[in-house]
Amino acid sequence: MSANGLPRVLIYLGLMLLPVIIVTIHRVPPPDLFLYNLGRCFALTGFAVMVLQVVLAARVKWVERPFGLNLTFPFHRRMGVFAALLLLTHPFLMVLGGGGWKLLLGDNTWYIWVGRVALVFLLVNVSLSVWRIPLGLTFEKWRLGHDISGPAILVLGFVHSQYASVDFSLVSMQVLWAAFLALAVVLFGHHRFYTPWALRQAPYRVVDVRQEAKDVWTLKFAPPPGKARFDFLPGQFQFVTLLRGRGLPEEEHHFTISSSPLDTGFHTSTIKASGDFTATIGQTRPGDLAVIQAPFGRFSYLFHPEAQDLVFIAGGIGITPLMSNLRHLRDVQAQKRVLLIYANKTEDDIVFREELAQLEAGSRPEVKVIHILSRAGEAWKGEGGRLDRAKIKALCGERLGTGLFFLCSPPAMTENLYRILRGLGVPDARISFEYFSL
Amino acid sequence: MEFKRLRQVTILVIGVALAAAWGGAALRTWLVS
Repeated sequence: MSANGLPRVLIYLGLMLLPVIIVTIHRVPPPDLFLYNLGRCFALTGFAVMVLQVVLAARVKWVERPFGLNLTFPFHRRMGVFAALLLLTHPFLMVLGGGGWKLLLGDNTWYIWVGRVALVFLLVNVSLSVWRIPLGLTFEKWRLGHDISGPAILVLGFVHSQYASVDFSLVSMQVLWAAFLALAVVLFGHHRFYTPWALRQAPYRVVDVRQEAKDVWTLKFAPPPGKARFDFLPGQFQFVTLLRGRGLPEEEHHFTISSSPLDTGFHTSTIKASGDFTATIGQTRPGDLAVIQAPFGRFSYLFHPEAQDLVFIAGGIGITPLMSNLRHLRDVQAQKRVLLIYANKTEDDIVFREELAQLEAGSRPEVKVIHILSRAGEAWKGEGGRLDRAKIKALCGERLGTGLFFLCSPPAMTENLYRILRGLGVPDARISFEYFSL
Repeated sequence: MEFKRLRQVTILVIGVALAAAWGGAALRTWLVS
């Protein structure tokens, strides 16, 4: 846990527990039925967690700074499932605790029906989020559904609890619920409406599009006239919405920044055409506009100033945040040792090959690049095969005992590399990785 | 580092939430009995 992370976790815990603490302290007279009361406490906690879901997802810099969005988003996903379990369980506990089956089946009071509809929305929302990919739902369609069902759950849950629960005879609970709802509405509105609108008032401009390798393009962005480019750390990422017209999709996607922060007046993202939206990336033209929200993430060697021995392991297009780190290391002439193990399928897939060779030829930092190809041709003189345990052990050698590891590759490969490194005795504290999946 | 931290925080938050709900329900039931 970083020094700044703990207070935020404690605030999260405090807000989550506040409803149960308030109703317990005020001794609102409930029935003398434990399971029934447990169901009510589940509902209160579940609703608080749902409100905090908005806080986690709204890209609030203060919230994500100590963790990075690649931690807060998976946490959001896990807590969404947890809140759903609490809220879906609560009527059953109340039934089993003495409330009777009429609560579930026979009670036609309008606010009970509001609660039932909220639970259906919740079930659909969580199911689509957990199984989005197996269900074949595109990110944009899922996001639209999430943006509708999320607020619906909160509003319906708010109304249901106000009328269905004796706890809301307390003014303090009414104030807390109103504050919770207001917080969710303000953050959601800021994140989904105000910020996109404000960013569109001053879009960046694509000033160059360059093909780096097979299906890989680098887009170079310049800030709007008279404005400075945002500051970022090497390895961070940005959310980009390309406004290209010509019938091309206009969707927001996250892309790693591949350039060094010390480049002035521009920054770049290097993107592989790998499916749906990114398949059109090569059709981007200089002059196209780009709405950019940035920077985010903590995949930077600068967060570990004590580390002298860096080991970068990249798979395919996962090279991009590591390239940003390498370029910055070069720009500041860092006195560090860097081993880059770069895995690809074929030679044609290697991105930044010439520049990596130039970095290797320099002295500061001291860079060693090892390319490894899983489908090497006969002419290939370098490493071949897959990055398994034996290969990692042989290539890293003594750096397993000293290096700070940065992993960026497709998620399954990253998870496998993480397990291999842990198995080879590399402590968790010396492994950092970019694991970004929405 | 990230896996471990995410797992730790998730377990902490879920554990505290369940314990608080359990404790709150038990306390409220006991107070009225």
